[in-house]
This record gives sequence, structure tokens and C-alpha cells, in this order.
Amino acid sequence: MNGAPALAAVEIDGLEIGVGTGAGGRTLVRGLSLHMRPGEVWCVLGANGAGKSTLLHTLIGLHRATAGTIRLAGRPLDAWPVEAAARVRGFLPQFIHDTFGASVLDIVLMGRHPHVSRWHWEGDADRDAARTALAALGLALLAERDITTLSGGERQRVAIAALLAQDPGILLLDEPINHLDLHHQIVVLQHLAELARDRDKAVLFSIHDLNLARRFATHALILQDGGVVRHGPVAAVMNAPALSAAFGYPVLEARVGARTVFIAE
Amino acid sequence: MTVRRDLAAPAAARAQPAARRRPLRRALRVWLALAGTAAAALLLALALGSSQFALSEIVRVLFQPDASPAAEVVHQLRLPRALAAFATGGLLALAGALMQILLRNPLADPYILGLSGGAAAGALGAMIVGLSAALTGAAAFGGALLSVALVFGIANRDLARLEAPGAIDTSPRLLLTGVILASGWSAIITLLLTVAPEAKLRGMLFWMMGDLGGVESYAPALLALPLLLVAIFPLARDLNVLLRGPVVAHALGVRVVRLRRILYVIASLATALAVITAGTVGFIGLIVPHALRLAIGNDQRVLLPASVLAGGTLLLLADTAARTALAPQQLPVGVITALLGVPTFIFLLLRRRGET
Repeated sequence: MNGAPALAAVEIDGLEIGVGTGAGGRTLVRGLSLHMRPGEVWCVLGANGAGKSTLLHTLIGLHRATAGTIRLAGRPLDAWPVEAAARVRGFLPQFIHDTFGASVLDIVLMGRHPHVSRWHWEGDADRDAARTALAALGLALLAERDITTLSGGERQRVAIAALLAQDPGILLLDEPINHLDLHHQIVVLQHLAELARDRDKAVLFSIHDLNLARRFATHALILQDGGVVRHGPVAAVMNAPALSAAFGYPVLEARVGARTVFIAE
Repeated sequence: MTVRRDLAAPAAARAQPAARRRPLRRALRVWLALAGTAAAALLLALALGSSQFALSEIVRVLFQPDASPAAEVVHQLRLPRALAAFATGGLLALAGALMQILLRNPLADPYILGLSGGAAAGALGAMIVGLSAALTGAAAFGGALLSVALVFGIANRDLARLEAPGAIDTSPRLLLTGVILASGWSAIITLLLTVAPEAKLRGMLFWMMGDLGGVESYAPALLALPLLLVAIFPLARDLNVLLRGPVVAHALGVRVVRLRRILYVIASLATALAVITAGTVGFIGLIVPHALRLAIGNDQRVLLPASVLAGGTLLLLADTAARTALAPQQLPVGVITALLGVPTFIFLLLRRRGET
């Protein structure tokens, strides 16, 4: 990053997120304030049910925050029309269920939806964007295959390719490396890190693999029981005591070469 | 440390001009072919029947009606019935395609899910009370709306909820709900027919099976068919995205709740109009979109107009078969569509089970 701090891509102020009401209700996030800038890669860490998905859903307007404000590119989330928001932020959900067949290329082409006017069909530029995204994830040869014939990991890569074709400034991904083999976990995370570094995208993903998170993220956001959130540069917040507290299980920290790794006790 | 990509990105992507597709041109070809088939089916329907005329004469009197017997048969008997069949089939196929998107389930169909039954019960109730034709149509629409609301409510998929558990297949529950609703509606129809003053109502068969003999008015259906298609067509790409699930659609800028409401209203309107025109004809909404998806893919921009054309053609052919196969005996057209539809449905159900 050069000199002056860039305008925040995502600006969160005093955010409180809860689920359920009454006695069954829980507060997942309390008093969260942070600025996520272009060029940064944030990982969201936390135990099952800690609120990673709910936090992501809140950021795209699917879940209503109990308190606080969220701004995307300087504009309050509520003030974004759905169509315009889709041009600045993209989202990869944790589950996508395909009931109908469609070619992989057509699925990825759907990422271009927010960029094509209602009265036009996708053009060559859109198809190029889709093919580039497919190639980036090693899916070029599957372009004409039917999505329902693919394996879980291949479908996950297709969904990520659709997000790349959408090409938003802010990429939000819910467990993007789910179902992926080791090689493709790294292909995906490396590509996301490059998008942040070379094209000034702001990236935020939830993840369970602490070592891949430590390696590819610049910042971490750790959700703990009772709405406690720690966040900051990975080197500052990803440490054995914080992770042990978040996962309720002792985590050890070690150095392997130049890299910091975490292992479960 | 570097990771090698399977293919270097932009250069490779641009190096395949041969694979570039022209979807609009392809869509036009599909529509033209189907429109040609529809025209041929119409000609066939006008030519076949108890009185035989030369095809050239049929074509001549079609465009230049005179006082000849051929003109009389074509314009008084066969053309109204053929147009009613085409409009009804088109509406049912459109309603089926839209219900399948709304429920994200290829087994959805206005007949199977009880929409047709609801519309029939509504229309019948209105007729018994002695309401005007317009209000009868409104009552049919109300019955169809109520049916979709019940299917959604009971199968637990709130129209206004986005964060639905996308990974869960609700087919069994949905279908059971529809089947139960449909049998509930047919009980109500039977009840209404039993207590009704007989003279002013159409027969049991019409409301239970569908019949195009003695069509009273086809103009509303024929007029509504292109209007409903034009209303939904600009949203067709949104529908493609909606098929990936509400969360993906929302993230891609689709106004999901509004779009679902539009689908809901248009599918119910189409069903209601089909029912008041031809009674409860089943399975067109299931067979036609399914067959077309296999043949031309699942892009709603191509599929919806194609469904309208193919649905109209299929019902027109089915009705022509119904009135000529056992002539002079006339079969209700619903018998033919059910004989085609039931195996299709079972095939779809088995195929789905095989997948999961």
C-alpha cells in the first residue's frame, strides 16, 4: 500500500448482531468497529455457531444488525439499492443447492448479471470475463459440463469463479475452501490474496484452517463466545491464547522456517 | 513459493473464438421452429374432423371467410376450439415453468400442486352464487392464489424469507402438500356440483379432467397469454439467477421477494385463465418445460417463450387427438394429457431419487 490510507471499503461502527429472540436469543457480535481497506485480506475465525455466517449475511443485508452501522464504499448499507450493491460487493454462500442442470459457463456467466442491463444479453466481454474466471480456478476444460454432474469441490470452484466474474471491489466469502483439495485450497486463497494485492480488492472470508488463514490473510477477525471480537493484523491477533479462547481448546503456536503455524494440543 | 495455475488466465480465455456462442440468435431459431410447428398443428386441427375439406380450401376460407360450409365449420367450430386449446396450453406451460422456478422444483405443476383445483373451486363457487363472468374469473384467480399460499405456508417456505436453508430438498413435503390440497379441492368441487342448480353449470368432467368441447370464451385466455409473457420476459435473467437460490440471487442484485411475488401472481393468473377456459387440464405445465429443458437448456429467456409456444401446440394436438381418435366419440382432452403426464412425472421422480 502506498502512503495515504485508502478510503475504507467496509466501515463497521458499533455493530451488534444477535440471533433469535427472548430466552433463546444470543448475541454473536458486540460493539464491533473496524475499517477494512482495499488491498486487505481478512479472515473470520471462530467455533461452529460463533456467528461467522451471520456476520457475513449481515454485511450483505440478509440479516439485520441489532445495532450499529455498516458502510460499503462510504455509503450506508441500507442506502444501497440491491442492484447497485451487487456491483460493489459479491458474496459466496456456504451452501448452494442446484436442482436444475445448467452448463458451468452459464453458471459463471450469472456473475455478470449485475453488470448487464435488463434489456441486453451478455456480450463477448462478459463471456471473456467468465472464461477468465474459469481459467483462474483451473476449470476451463469443464466450461460446457453440466453443474449437476460435478463433484462438490468442483461446484465450489464454479461458485467462486462466478464471484470472480462478478468482479466486485469487496469480496465476501463464507468458507470458500470447503470441499476443496489441498492444491485448490491454495489456488483459491492465493488468487484472492493476489486480487487484494494487485487489484486493490477488499477480501473477507471465513475459514477453519488456521494455518492457511495465517498465511494468506493480512488481518483476522476472531469471534468468541458472548459476542467478544478481536481483530487486527494477523501477526497481532492470531496467537495461541486468543485462538485457544475462541475455540475452547488449547492451540499451540510454533515456527516452521519463516512461517507461524498453529496446532491443536 | 508459487503455485502453478492449470491455465494462464486471460490469454487462454481469449484464444477460443470457436466456442463463442450467440444465444440470442439461437433463441430466435428455437422460437421460429416452435412457431412453425404451432402453425402446422393449427392447420391440422382445422383440417381434421367429421366433415372433410381439402387443405387448400381450409386455408382459403381461413383468410377469406365466405358462406361455404367449410367456412362455417372452420370459423364456428374448429378455429375457436383450436385457439382455446392453444391459449390454455400456453398458459399452463407458462404457469408450470414459473411455479418450477418459484419453488425451485422441476416437479411443480399447477395441476399437481392444486392450483388448478383451487381455481376451479373458486370459479364454480362464483357461478353458483350467480356472479358475472368477470367476477368468476376473479374468484378463480383467488382460488389459485390461495392454493400457492397454502403450498408455501404448509411446506414451510415463506415467500418473504431469504435465509432459507438452501441445502435442504423440500420436494417430498411440497408434493404431499400439493396432492393433499388437490384432493381437498376436488372434494369441494364435487360438493359444489352436488348442491348446485344443474342447468347453469358445466359438467363434472370439465372441472375434474378438463374438456375443450363447447368452449364458451377463449378471448381472455388468448389475450392474456402474450401479455403475461411480455410481463415476465424482462425478468427472465433474474429468474435464471433465482434458480441458484435466494441468497445467491440477492447477492447478485435480484430483488428476491418482489420477484417471487410477481411469479406468484403471474402463475396464479395464468392458471385461473386456463381453468375458466378449459377446466382443469393437467400435466401440460410439467411435461412441456421439462422436455424443453432437455432439448434447449434452462435459460428462462429462451425457455419461457418456447414453453408458451410448445404448451399451446401440445394441447392443440392433444385436443385434436381427443376429438378424432375415437370419433364420433369425443374424449375430454384432460384424459390425453394425464396419459402423457403421469409417466413423465414418475420418470422425473425416479430420476431425482437417483441423483440424491
